[in-house]
Parts: sequence; C-alpha cells; structure tokens
Amino acid sequence: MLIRPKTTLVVIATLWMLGGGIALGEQPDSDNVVSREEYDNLKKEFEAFREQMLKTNQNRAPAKMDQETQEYLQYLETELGVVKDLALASQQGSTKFLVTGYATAGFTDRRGENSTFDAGFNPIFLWELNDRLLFEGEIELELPGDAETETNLEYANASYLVNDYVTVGAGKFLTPFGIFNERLHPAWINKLPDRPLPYGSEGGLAPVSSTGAFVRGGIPVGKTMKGNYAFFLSNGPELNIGDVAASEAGSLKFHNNADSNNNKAFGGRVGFLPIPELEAGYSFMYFQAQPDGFTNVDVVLHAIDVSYIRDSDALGGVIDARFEWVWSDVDDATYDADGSLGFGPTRFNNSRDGGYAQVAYRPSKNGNKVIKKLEGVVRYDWLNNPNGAPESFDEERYTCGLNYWLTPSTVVKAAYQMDNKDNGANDADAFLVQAAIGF
Amino acid sequence: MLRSRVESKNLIPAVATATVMLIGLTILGCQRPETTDRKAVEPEGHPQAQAEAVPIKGRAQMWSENCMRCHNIRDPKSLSDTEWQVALHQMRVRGNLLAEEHKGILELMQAGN
Ligand code: HEC
Repeated sequence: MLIRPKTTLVVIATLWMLGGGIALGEQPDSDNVVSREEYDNLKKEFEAFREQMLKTNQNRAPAKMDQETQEYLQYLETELGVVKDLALASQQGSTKFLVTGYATAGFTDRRGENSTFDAGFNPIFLWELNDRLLFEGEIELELPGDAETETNLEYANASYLVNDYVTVGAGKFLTPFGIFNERLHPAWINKLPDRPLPYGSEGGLAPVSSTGAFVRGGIPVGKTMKGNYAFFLSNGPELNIGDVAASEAGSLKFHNNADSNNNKAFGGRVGFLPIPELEAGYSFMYFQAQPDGFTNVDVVLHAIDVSYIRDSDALGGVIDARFEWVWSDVDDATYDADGSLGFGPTRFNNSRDGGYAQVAYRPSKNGNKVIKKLEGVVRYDWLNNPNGAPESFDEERYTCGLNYWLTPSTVVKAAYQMDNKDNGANDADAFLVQAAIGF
Repeated sequence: MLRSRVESKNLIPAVATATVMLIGLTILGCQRPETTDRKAVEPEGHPQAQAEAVPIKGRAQMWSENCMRCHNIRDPKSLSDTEWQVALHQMRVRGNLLAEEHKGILELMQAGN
C-alpha cells in the first residue's frame, strides 16, 4: 500500500497537536505563556521528530511495494506481453493473404495409348485488400506429355462486394456457365479423375475461364428459398476453321485470350434453390466467333444443371447427384471454301450437345473407420457432334469409381471407364487413378 | 436428341430482364442496411461478438446447408481466423452466398478453430 500525502498530513497534525499538548502540559498552568526560546526549542524538536517520521515512512513504503506491487507488476508485464503478441498476430497490416490450391498425382491406362503417370500443381493466391475487395489468382502447372512444364493462368481477377446482393469483378475468371468449371473441376472436389465430356479441356462445349468483367450475387426468395445469378461480358471464343486439323472444323477455341473480333461474348447463369439440398440452374452465352476474313458466325450456348446433395441419417451418409446438359449452336458456314485445306468445301448443321449425370454416395455415418471414408461414384456422359463435320463422331461413356477420403480435401480415386464412339472411331476404355490434395 | 436453334434476337428479352433485375438489386441493396460490414465479428469470448452474433443454431445450419453444396466440409480448425476470413470471402463470391450466411459462417469458423 502506498502512503498517501493526505494520511501523512493527518499524522503530522495529530503529532503536532500531541507534541503541542505534551509541551503545553509541561508548562506551568499558572500563566499559559510560552517564551520565544521555549517555542523555538520545541519547534526544532518537532521538526527533527517529523523528519525522522518521514524518513521512516519513506524507508518503509518501498519495502511494502517490493512485496505486493512487484508481484503485480510482474503479472501485468506477462499479461501485456500476451496482449502484445495477440495484437501483433491479428494485425498483419490491413490486407490479408491466403495461399491455397491443390495438387494431383495420377495414372492413366487408356486402350490404344501408352499408360502414363502425370502430376499437377495449382497454387491459388487469395488477397483480401479489405472487407469488400478480394483478389484471387490461380496458376496451373502441368506436365504435358511431350514438353516442359506448362504454366497457365487459370484465373486472376479482383472482385468488389458492392452490397448484400451485388458483387462486381474483372480479370480472368472461371466462367459461370454451367457448374462443372466454376464449382466442381478442382481435383479435390471432382469425384472422378477426369472431366465429363461437355466440359473436356479438348473438344468441350463450354469455356473453362473467360477474360472480361462480371456481376453476381445471391438473393433470398421468400423465407426459405434462394436464388443466385452471375452475368459476364468477355472476349469471345474463336471458331476453328479447320486450318490445323480437319476434325476441328466448326468447333470452338476457348483458350484464345484475345478476342478474334469486336463482338464481345455475353453470358451468365441463374440458379434457384427451392430447398437447400436442391439447386437448378440455367446458363447461356452468346458471341460471334468468326476469325478475321471469315463470314459472320453467331454462336449460342445453353446449359441446364441440377444438383441434389443430401446428408441424411436415413441414408447413412451423403448422396451427391449432379446433372448437366449443354447445347452449342454455331451458325452454319462453309469450311475450306476453296479446297486448299484438303477437306472442303464442306458445310454442315453445326449443332452439338453433351451432358453428364453423376451420382456419388459416401456412407459417412457408418461405424467402420474404413467404410465411412469410402465413396462410390457412377457417371454417364455423352457428346453429340455434327454428323456432317469432317471426322466427327458421337461419344458416350460409363465411368465407375471408388474414392477413399483421407481428409475432407484429400482423396485417392480409382475409376474404370467404358467408352463408346460411333462412326468407326476407336473406343478408348480406360483405367484411371488419381490422388488429390486440396490445401 | 434435342437440338434447339436459338436466334440471337431471342436474347434481347433475356438481356433486358437481366439488366432491369441488376439495376433493381443494386438500388435495393444500397438501401438495405448492410450486413457486409464485419466489424461486429470478434474473436470468441469477446462479449460484443456474443451479443451481436447470429444465433449458434442458425449459424450451424447455414454451415451445413451451404458448405457441402460443392465440396466436403472442412474442419474449422484447419484455418486461422484471418485465413477463414479470406477463404470465406472467396466462397461468398464463388458460391453467391447471402451476406448473412457469409457473416454467420465466418463467426462459426472463427469460434470453432
Ligand atoms: C458454389 C460452390 C461452393 C460453395 C457453396 C462453397 N465452396 Fe468452398 N470452394 C469451392 C471451390 C470451387 C473451391 C476451390 C477454389 C478453386 O480451386 O478455385 C473451394 C475452396 C474452399 C476452401 C479452400 C480455400 C479457398 O478459399 O480456396 C475452403 C476452406 C472452402 N472452400 C470452404 C467453404 C465453406 C466454409 C463454405 C460454406 C460457406 C464453402 N466453401 C462453400 C466451391 C464452393
């Protein structure tokens, strides 16, 4: 305890009075008068006494502080250290950064091809500049069969939360057309080792990513239902005129990063969730695809998607069902008009469609430690190409897979694929294995 | 086999509807009180967070309803508070989450790690 100045004064005053009383008490009662000399002596005595008192107090106070206060100070110091550490840890400047992504290791044994191992690494960089502004970027590092490591900028865009219902953004983004590319393609999410035919990176019907700007958001519908939307304006894909391979004539090149004409692509998707487990969506995309010097070719893409995901005690686990159907309608055109490419002139009805239906079941509520981590998947996918196009064929596949989930984002997948092509093309049945980690 | 030919002029009503819808949403969204602001979100144990937070049951339901629509649910412990903030910002955009879902699930993840 500290000795307060007020207390000291009271003590002094009391002593003074006492001292005075004693002094006075020593005086003869008769005249009650103190001589100057007596007074000065008494005063000196008292001053000496007071000084002694103060000295004693001064010496005693720190001694007391040492015991209690020092302990308290020590406690405060430790606490302060903890608080400081916490503050520093959570401060990290005002921007927040997360490195995430995924990696794969795979093996494919396809009929008519040499079996091969492959590996991929997709780091993702997320940078939250403030509560509303986010940058996301993904680099895809792949090992193509015949070249050095290939680097692709899968996406790189910034988005801004304008309000509760509207987010705008620009850059290169996964195209919100259908759901596979935007939501399901990362290897730790995709339940099979490969992509379904309509979203194949070669010969697919829709873009994986687009360069431009987007606006999107979610809206409550009534009390329990929800809706969502995503629209974009971007560089449009380019028509393949068959100058590299006749079989590609009439298909679309989705990987062109610069537009081939001044007509931009416009597209988007609207989704509706009547109940949380069920979502249905409709997507569209419109653009002109002709390269310089080719007749105008309008393209309209449409897709529908339905997802049903339910975690239920009655089912003993999680059921995940997806269905997508994509239509591609490209204006008819004459390819190799002057015959210089060796396959024309040819003109055909350039309409395509493809889709997949996939069901997965994981008995996640099973008591057995191994069984609860297993997941069975079946998928049927198809792609119908124009009948009159050079070297064109339709294809359908049945794929059955078994997955083992080591963690919620680490999985080992094994699948067998039965392939069926028409027009005399080789059926390429395949055995596929893939390990994927999302981090 | 279903083959639909859609003329480009059919897109005009679709584009017009979308534009009107977006303008409507922007205006509506700007007038409504915003739940985007996450100032109320504090680490667990902070009294203010308890008082202003979405009820636990609501948050857990939001989590299970939203976060398994595309992929398996991850352990809240797998990321730190700051990391969840960034990851959920990406999910808000990618999954078109509602603002209150974003806020509620973030609170739940930050409380559970
Ligand atoms: C619309 C689909 C969708 C929904 C809904 C969704 N996610 Fe994701 N999530 C993804 C995709 C796709 C990725 C992978 C990102 C990539 O590879 O571009 C991902 C990645 C993640 C990651 C890894 C880090 C990151 O940000 O990339 C975490 C953690 C995550 N999601 C948590 C959640 C949580 C929690 C929810 C519930 C609010 C949620 N997700 C809802 C699609 C979704």
